[in-house]
Amino acid sequence: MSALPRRAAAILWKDILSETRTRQGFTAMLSFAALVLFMFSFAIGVDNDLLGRLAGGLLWVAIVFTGTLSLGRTFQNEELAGGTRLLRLYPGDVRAIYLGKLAGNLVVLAALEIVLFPAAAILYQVDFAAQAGPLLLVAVLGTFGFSVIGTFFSALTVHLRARELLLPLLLFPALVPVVLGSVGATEAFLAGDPLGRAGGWLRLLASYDVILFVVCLWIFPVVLEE
Amino acid sequence: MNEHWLFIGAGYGITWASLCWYLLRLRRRERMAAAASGRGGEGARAGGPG
Amino acid sequence: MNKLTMLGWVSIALIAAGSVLGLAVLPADALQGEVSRLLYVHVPVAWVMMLAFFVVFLMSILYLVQRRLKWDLLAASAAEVGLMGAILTLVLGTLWGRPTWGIWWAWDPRITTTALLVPIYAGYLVVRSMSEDPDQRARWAAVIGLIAFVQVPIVYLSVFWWRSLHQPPSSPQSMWGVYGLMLMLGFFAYAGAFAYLWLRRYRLAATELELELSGPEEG
Repeated sequence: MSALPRRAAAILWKDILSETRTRQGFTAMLSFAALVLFMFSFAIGVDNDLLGRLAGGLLWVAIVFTGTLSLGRTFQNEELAGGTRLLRLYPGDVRAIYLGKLAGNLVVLAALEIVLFPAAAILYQVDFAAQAGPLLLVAVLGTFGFSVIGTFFSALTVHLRARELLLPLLLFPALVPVVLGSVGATEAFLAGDPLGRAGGWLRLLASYDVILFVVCLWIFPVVLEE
Repeated sequence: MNEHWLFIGAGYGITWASLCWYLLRLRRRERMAAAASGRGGEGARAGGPG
Repeated sequence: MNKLTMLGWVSIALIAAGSVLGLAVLPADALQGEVSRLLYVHVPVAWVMMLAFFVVFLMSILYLVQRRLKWDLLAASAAEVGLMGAILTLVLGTLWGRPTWGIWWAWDPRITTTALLVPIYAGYLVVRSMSEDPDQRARWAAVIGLIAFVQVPIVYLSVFWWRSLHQPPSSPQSMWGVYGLMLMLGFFAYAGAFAYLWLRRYRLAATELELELSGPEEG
C-alpha cells in the first residue's frame, strides 16, 4: 500500500524537475493569468466598487482559464516523448500516475494562486488578507476539486484530435459546482459572511471534491488502457 | 391571448418537426448503410413510421 | 409488422392523441391560461430526457463490466436521442417561460442544469466521433457517461443553492385530475417514442460498426 504514494511522489518529482529546468511554461502561464485579470477590468471599466464586489468571481474565472491551459500540458509533454506508455509499463497500480499528475497540477496551481491572489487584491482593491484563514481553506478546496477533475479529463483527451477544444468542453460543465462553491464562499467571506452561507458552500465543495476524487481514482485505469 | 397561441403553436410544431427530422435522418442513414453492406432492400423493410 | 415498428406507430398515435387533447379538447388552465398547454409536452419530454441519460449511465456501467460493444452502441444511441430531448426541453421551456414569466431565460436550477446537459452529452458524442478504434471509443465514452451521471445531480444542487425561481416540479401528485392524466399520457407517449428511436438508432449503429470492421479500406 505504501508503494502507491511512493510511485506517485516519484512521478511528481520527475515533473517538478523537468518543469524547473525550463521555466518558460510557468512564466507564460503567469503572464496569461495577469492578462485575464486586466481583460476583466477593461471589460467592466474602472468602477472600483463594482470590481471589488466582483473580485471573487473574476479571480476564480482567471484561475479556471489559466488552469485549463496548464492542464493541457499535464499529459501532453509525456505523450510527445511516448512517456505515458513508458509510465504504464512500470509495475504496480497505474493509479499512481493519476495521483502523481494530480499532485503536480496542485503544485502548479498553488504557485499560480500565490501570485494571483495578491495581484487581484491590488488590481481590484479588495482586502483578502483580512480573511486570510477562511480564504485559504476555500482556495485549497477549490483548487483540489479543479485538479481532480482536470487531471482526469486531460488524461482522457490527450489522445484526441482537437483536444484543446474538447478538454474545456468536458471540463467546464463538471466544474460548475467547484466554481459556484469557490466563488460563493469567497464572496461570502469577503463580505464578512453576514448570511452565514459560506459554511454551506464549503460543505458542497468538500463533498464534491471527495465524490469526484473517489470516482476518478477508481475509474482511471480504464482511461489508460490500450 | 392570440400571442399565447403563437408560442403554443411553435412548441407543438417544433416537437413534431424534430421527431420527423430525426426519423428521416435515421432512415437516410439506414439506406446508406444497407446499400454499403450490399443488402439492398433491407433498409426499406426496416422502415417504420416516417 | 415487427414489434419495434408497432411500438413506433403506437407512440406516434399516443403523441398525436396528446396533441389533439392538449390543443383542442381540454380547456385552458384557470391560473396560467392557454400557455399551460405547452406543459403537456414540456414536462413529459423533460422526464423522458432524464430517462434517456439514465439509460446512457446504465449502458456505460454494463460496458465497463462486460466489455461488449453492444452496450457501448446502446449507450451512444440513447445519448443521441437524449440530447435531442434536452434541446427540445429547453426550447419548449423558453417558449413557455416568455409568456408566463415575461422573460426568455431564467437562471433557475432546472433550466440551467438542462442547459448544461447539452454540452456534456454533446461532448460525449464528439469524443466518440474523434476515435477510430471501436474499443478505445467505447472505453472513453463509457467513462464520460459514468462521470456525467455522477456530476449532474451535484451540478443541479449547486445551481439550486445559487439561485431559485422555477415553480415547484410538476408531477402528477401536485397537478390534480385531468392534468396529471395528461402528463402520464405524455410520458408514456414520449417514452415509447424514445424507446423506438433508441433501438432503431442502435440497429443502425450495429450495422455501421459491422461495415467499419469488415471493410476498413472502403472509408
